[in-house]
Amino acid sequence: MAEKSDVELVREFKAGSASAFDAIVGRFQDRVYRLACVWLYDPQNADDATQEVFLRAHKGLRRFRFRAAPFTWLYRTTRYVCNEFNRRRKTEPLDDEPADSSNSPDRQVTQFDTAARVRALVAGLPERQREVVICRIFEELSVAETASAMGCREGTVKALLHKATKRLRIDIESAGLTL
Amino acid sequence: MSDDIDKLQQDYREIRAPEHVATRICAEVADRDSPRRTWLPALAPIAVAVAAVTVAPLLMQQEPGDETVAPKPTSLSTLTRVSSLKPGMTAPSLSSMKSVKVPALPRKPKTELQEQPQTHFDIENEHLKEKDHAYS
Repeated sequence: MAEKSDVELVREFKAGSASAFDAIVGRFQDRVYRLACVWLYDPQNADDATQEVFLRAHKGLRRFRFRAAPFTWLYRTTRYVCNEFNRRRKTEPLDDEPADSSNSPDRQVTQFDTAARVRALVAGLPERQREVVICRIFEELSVAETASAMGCREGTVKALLHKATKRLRIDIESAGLTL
Repeated sequence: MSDDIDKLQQDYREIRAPEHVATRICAEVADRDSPRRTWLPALAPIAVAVAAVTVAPLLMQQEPGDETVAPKPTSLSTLTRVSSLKPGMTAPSLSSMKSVKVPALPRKPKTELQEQPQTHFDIENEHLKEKDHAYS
């Protein structure tokens, strides 16, 4: 049987199917988690941020009007949630509690290492250019989808992407980073 | 796209959400959807009934004191409301208030001009004036 499209899953969820929401979580959790890892100052919070995004999706997708792709909606929600987490972290003191050991720490360390490496490379970019790199290069969204996710014109996306890739190459070479 | 950026993309795509994330989300969503809050609307009529049972005796107790404490009724609507609560009391109806007879006002004194009847001479004079005006 052919895999259901994102839109079909959201339609089923809106119609009241609980399994459709589980399918949505299964399909998008990695992408949302990756975004959270790159956007959050503290990637240890990526779990909580991902959970928060999907809880908001559970409420918000019921009113989804299909003006954009479902992932575009999730991308914007993730950005919003990550900004909230970052703001909270600025105001709150760092928690000294160790991370939950039940979450296979070895795997988490490698995840965080990879996320930290990726983040270190894109962190040097201005925010809009970083966003374009994440959407266009990492998430492989189309120019139109990227424009919709970022709330700008397609021409702006192209211009930002040109600048971002140019700068990213220079940064990679100058840092001499071996990926 | 350069190899470095391709490698960066690969690294990014290697990041995967821990398995417990989906489990936590689904558990939280199931918890939110669970019917544990459905009894709240059902409680509303019970709460209203309990409130009515509690407040009604208090209202009944207050009634005897109304005769001394109650302010003087000032409007027809207040009188009607009070009379419905107290069977002995009658409130005037609006129609009865309308039918109250008021003594007639004294007649206006007539002016002198109105009293003097117009003479035949005056009428003729006026007729002539009209004619002059027409030929002028």
